[in-house]
Amino acid sequence: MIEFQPVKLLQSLCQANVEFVLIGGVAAATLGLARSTYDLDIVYRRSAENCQALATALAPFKPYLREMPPGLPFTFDAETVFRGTNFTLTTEAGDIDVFAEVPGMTTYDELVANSSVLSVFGCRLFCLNLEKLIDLKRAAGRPRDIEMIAQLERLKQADPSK
Amino acid sequence: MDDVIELYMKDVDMSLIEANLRLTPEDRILKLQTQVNFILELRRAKKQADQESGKAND
Repeated sequence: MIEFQPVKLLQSLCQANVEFVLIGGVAAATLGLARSTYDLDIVYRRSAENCQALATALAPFKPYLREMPPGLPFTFDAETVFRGTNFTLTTEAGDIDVFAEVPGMTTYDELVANSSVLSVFGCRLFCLNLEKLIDLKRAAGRPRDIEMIAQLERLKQADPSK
Repeated sequence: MDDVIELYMKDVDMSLIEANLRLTPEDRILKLQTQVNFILELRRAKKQADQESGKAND
């Protein structure tokens, strides 16, 4: 059984100097939400150098396209990353979704400007702040996110400092 | 969608959020990791039990 190891994935991303912003369920949990999530979601800066760093960071965990039959000729290398944008991956440390763009964002730098720097597990990383996390969820417009948006809004009421 | 969100907001269990806010960000991630792996292990065990039950009934 593959264990979900967001800590290991985050540490590898940081050690490889990947430029990324933590979003999604793990970001929400980090901010205080009590809700399970089964994958790590990040937005990465789309530069040639960062695509290489991202490929390097995930290589030890053998990333593969999620829900695709095994044995397809897929390699998550710098060229693959640069030629694509968003990837939903399964790895030996759990599932990770890497996005170059998500609904509700304008640029990567805009997400960084709406993030806080967290020092966790020996890393310093950007975690999207609550307001922007809510914006992204609303922009995605998925009925399945309604409950999570409600929880995020209540979290905002409980802790306006976020 | 806002009206629906407002309705859901009424049912949010604030005690769980308040408990999490007493933790550090690092501890919140660790708690999530432990919780998710616990659930995954339960699902695996259930699947195995169902398979064994199916074999027993053969």
